[in-house]
Amino acid sequence: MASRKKVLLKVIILGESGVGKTSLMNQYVNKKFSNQYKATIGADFLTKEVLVDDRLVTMQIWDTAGQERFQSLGVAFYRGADCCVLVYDVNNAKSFETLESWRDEFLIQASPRGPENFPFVVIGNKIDMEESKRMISQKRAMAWCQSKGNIPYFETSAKEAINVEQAFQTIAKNALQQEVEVEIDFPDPIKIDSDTSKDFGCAC
Amino acid sequence: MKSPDSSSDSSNVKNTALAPSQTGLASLLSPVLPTSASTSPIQSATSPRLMPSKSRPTTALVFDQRSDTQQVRHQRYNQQQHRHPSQQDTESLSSDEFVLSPPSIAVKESNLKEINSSNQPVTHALKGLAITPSHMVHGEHSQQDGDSESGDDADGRLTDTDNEQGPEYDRTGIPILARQSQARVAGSDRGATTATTTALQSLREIDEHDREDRQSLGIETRFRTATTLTPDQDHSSEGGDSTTGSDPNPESTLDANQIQDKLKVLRPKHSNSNNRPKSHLQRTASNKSYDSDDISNNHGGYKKHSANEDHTTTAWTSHRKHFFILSSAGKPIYARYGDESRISSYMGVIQALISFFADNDDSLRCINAGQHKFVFLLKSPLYLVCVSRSGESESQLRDQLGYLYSQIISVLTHSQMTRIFEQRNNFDLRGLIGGTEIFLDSLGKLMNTYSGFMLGAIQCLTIPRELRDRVGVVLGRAKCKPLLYAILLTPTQLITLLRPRTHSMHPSDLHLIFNLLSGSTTFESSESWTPICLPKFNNKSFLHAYICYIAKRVCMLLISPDKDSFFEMSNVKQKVVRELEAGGMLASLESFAAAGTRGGFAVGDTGIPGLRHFLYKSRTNVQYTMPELSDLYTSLSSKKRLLRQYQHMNERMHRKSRPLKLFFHVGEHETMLGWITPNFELYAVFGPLVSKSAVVLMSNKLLKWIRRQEDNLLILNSPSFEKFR
Repeated sequence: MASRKKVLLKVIILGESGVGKTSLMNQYVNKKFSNQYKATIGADFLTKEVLVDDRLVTMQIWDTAGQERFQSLGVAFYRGADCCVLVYDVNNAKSFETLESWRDEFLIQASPRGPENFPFVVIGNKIDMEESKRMISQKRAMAWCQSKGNIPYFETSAKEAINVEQAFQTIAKNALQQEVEVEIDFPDPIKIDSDTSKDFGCAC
Repeated sequence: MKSPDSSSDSSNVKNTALAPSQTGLASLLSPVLPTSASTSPIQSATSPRLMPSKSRPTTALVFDQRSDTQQVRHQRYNQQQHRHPSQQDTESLSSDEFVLSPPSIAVKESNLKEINSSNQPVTHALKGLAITPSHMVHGEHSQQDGDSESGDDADGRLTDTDNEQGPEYDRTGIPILARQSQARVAGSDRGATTATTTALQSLREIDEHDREDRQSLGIETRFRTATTLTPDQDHSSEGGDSTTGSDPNPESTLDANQIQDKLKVLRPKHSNSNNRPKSHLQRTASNKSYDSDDISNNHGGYKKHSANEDHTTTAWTSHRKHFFILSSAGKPIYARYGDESRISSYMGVIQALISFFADNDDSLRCINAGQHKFVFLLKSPLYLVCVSRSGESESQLRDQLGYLYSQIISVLTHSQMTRIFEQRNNFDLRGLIGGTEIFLDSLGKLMNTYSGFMLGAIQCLTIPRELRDRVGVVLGRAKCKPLLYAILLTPTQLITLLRPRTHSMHPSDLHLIFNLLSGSTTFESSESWTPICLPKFNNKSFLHAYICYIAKRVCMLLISPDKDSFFEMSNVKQKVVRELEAGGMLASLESFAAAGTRGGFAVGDTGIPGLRHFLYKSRTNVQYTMPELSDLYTSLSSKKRLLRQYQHMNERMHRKSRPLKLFFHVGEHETMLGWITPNFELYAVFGPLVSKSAVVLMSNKLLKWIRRQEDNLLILNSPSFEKFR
């Protein structure tokens, strides 16, 4: 082998529309934030290289559309993800309540091996808003994460770049744990006998 | 990858079906020329077998039965060609082939109901002749290569002008998507499409709102631009039909707007592309640079020359043909240019597009967008995609993707690869094929220079038959139990191949072997032992190849199913080398291999004036030969142009919807004749000012020359080990 390739991780970001999935991604990858809301259509794709435990990995981030009418990308779309990020808005109770269904939907469509151990990360976004607007307490969110098999939980602000880097670092780290070496075994040797005769019209 | 069997089978069937009416018409219409009876072109060109020489008297009799009226009718063409009566050949073509072909096409027309022209073939024939020196007519279109397909457009109209690089090519920016409906009822198909339409329409509304923002972001990349390019350039008025010829089903094309919307839906974004000017993309689209072939044969620490390119560099976007291989999860496996992980966003887009159609049990085959073709080959768990503006056809590009797929299989085996992805569909396959990218790269390069992929045939080294036979005997005597195949070859040509009687070798497997040799120079210095899966032979398991150069450019390849037989193979080699040396054969092999570097014989050896180059494929032997390229084709660009011309002709003649037996093409640079019978395919290239009758005359002469030399040009007596027991 010439050189060990960087590992590539497929990370899918899910959540209700308007919770700030694209903003999180933009903040993380481009260090940019825009107050203007625009719905993601279908999906956006971003690539970022990160260092995890001295190992360079490429994160292939699949930002999806939250609005239901864009959920037409198909079953195959989630296939082979290494980590799934569930995002909600701490100021929007409904966006928290639907996390469960997003998670279930993902597990059904991606059907990963060992769904109970599949790495999720939950992000409560928009903590820069004033405290009075907050609908979901940290305690409540953490309790839910606990109940779903100790999902790591982060509270972030894409706008003020709070905790974004840390959240994605954990995402990469947990995703990397999915990357286990598969067993490579040499297949059985071919048995050559005349009854498996093949004739291709004679290449020679 | 074409199966040579099936293709020749189907043409056989076709020919027999057409034969009676054709021969009838032919005997009626054949002009009275001294030799035309015995060489009755239609008859011979379409009959499934070569006429044995003893049948000549009979055909001569036919000649005598000609009526005088026909003599009158055709007298004006007689001066076109006068051949000596002794020039009797079993399979031959006359310039009147082109006169005669309307009847045969008339049969086709009625079958295919494609052309609703007059059903008076004779009138057609006469009209067709009015344009006979068609290079004069076509020559005036200096920018345009005209194709006159024998008979198809007898009235001289160009129905099928495919310009390699002509300005008309981007006449439409409307991408049309050919979908492969999988045995679905028309109604449900329509239903699915309507659902898609409405969904996409709602998307479009949103998108209108969204457009301003998006433009300010400036993150348009090539996937998107390729489809929106032409409207920007205002070419849309030129009307659009960029459907592929191989997809005759109009129902399977989506409205262009839908696709544009679809492509808008899936936007790759890139961290560092924010300030990319839009005009840049238009510039690259008109860039005519040829694919840079940048393979360094440095195996250790192999690094692609283009590794630093990515979607933001002009170099990357200016390549004419890209190959992408990804897993069905959308993870990058290989990109022909650039670092595949840096363009992994595109892989996401590709996966999402495929996934969208897969949801409707449909599979995406091709998107035509202006000059670009996006060709998909779905071999779950792998997806292979080609994005090309090289002018090659959809099916040729898909064949090439198939070869890339076989290359991956040859490293992993199909069973191992499927098992890995069954275990983990998020698997990053790059780790496993690491180190073999060099062979994918070299395959990409080879497919741009080597006509064997297009022909689905193997090129043979030109050596005297006697020498080939003697070498074969030596190889045959060296047979030991674990030896399955013994092959002598140069990096591009086959010298001889010994096989078990029951197992012939498929050309596409042999192409992988040639690619192995030309992709790496490591084999030249030592004896090598490598596992290799030959997918057509058995895609579940590895064979083991002993590779050793026994002389300069002469490689011996011994294939065994037993992974522990290296030393036995090495002994076989020693024995063979000893015998070859003793018989003085090794030295002559080496000199022939050296001569074969450029082709083995010069086009001048044929003694045919005006002939520039040709390809001759024996369909029964799945082999082909060609002369070395003359001084006219020394530059890489002219070589590639010639190959593209051959590809164009090959594609046109093999098109499923309307295959042709004869094809006459007058181009800016050369005049070409394609001629396909059940036994052979001949593609001959002449200078641009050679007349049609001369081309026909010369092609007949060429065929005769090939027939005389066939023993040396090709391997006709396919030795098997059993012969030597």
